[in-house]
Amino acid sequence: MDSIFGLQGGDFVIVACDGSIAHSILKIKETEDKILKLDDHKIFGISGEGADRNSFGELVHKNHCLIRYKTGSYMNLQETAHFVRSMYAQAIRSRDGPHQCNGLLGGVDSDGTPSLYWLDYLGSLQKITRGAQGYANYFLLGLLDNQYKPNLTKEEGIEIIKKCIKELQTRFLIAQNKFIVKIVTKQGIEAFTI
Amino acid sequence: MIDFDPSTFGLAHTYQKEDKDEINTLALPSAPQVIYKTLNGPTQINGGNKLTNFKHGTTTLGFVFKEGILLAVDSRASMGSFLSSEQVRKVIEINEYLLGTMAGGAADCQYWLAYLANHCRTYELKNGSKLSVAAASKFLQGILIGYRNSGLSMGCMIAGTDTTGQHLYYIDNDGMRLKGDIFSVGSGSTYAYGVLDNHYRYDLSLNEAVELGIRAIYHATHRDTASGGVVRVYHIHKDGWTKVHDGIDVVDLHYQFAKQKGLVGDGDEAKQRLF
Repeated sequence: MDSIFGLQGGDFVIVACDGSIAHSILKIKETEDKILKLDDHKIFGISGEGADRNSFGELVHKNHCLIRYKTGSYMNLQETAHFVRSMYAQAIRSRDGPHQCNGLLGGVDSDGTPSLYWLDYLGSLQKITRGAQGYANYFLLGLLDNQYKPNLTKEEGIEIIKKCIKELQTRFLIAQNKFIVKIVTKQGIEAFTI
Repeated sequence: MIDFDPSTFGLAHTYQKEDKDEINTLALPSAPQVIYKTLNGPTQINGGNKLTNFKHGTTTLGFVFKEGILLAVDSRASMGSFLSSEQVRKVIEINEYLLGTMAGGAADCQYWLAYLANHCRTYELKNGSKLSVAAASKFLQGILIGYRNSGLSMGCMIAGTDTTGQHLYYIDNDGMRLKGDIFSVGSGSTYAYGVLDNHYRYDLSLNEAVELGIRAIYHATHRDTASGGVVRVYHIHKDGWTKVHDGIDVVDLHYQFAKQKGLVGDGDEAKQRLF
């Protein structure tokens, strides 16, 4: 039931998530941050049940750090996306089965190029400019397609994300009141709640 | 489709199935149908609705406020419709700076929290400093992720104090670990949340917080059949934990709160009269 959605602009990437954790009919928490910070210029929004989201997120984060220490440099976005995809793919026919979570990986490379990748629990990988995971797809893809244009500015991007949030709050059966939005630019990551 | 039995040939007879069975067959004596119901307490009332299938027949709650953390629990253990105990200790004292609450399978909670206590003490002896609440709860999460599909049933809260302050974590058998300010776990948790969300503020004083915890548990035990017994309250502060109340009978609380409102507490507030 998580909503994760994101947008890539001219020089930034935004990934937003809802903050709620639900257990049968109860909303246990409303301020859970589902967007993982991999390093100063990469974020990974993960959608899935609690334990899978947590444990896969930790796996990606720690392995990402390990590669940096082993090789002495940070991977760029394309390398990271393919690395995460390979982690998903290795798990598919493993004893414990696939990692039951999907993700949106976004970030900005050191030369300033932004990219957003859509990752699936079975190891699908697609570079996109706008997208969502979960039920948010149904409500937001039309809106994101309609509002997107090439080389969006950061302010325009934030406005579109606000419209997406408003749409989910209007039309989605499940009440999602708090959203956490993270923006990556060449300067770093900004986070705020709406 | 009418079955033409030669014995009724020629009769203007509407064939009833029951007649035929009575005359022509030796039926087995009818036995009462045995329906195997799962021992799940409140779910039987709901007809076994999966959404409201709260396995953990209990109410426990905890919240963070300016004076630390307050934990309040009930003390009822039920096996289906049988009350096995009204005096269970659902707050497990892991060590002098960590507490765990129990919901779900008592055996699972008691065993794994004792295992955690062992691990905390070993760490303390090996490393010369106490394990933080975050690390202790993460250790437990790791265990529960490993046993994920084995049928463990635990919905516990780990609350404690360390050098960074007082922290409250919720951990369940699915391997989920959440840090938060207010949690309530168990079949009565929805009722407790109602009271808790309404009156909670971070800047409660200790007395107000204890009162809130007691009230929330009382309301949960009043409406939830699987919660009851006595209320036990613990307070976690920077020097460890204190047991504030060891057991306040919820029945006494019921009449006490009713009296505060000028009511008798016999449930006849609507004054239903039939004649």
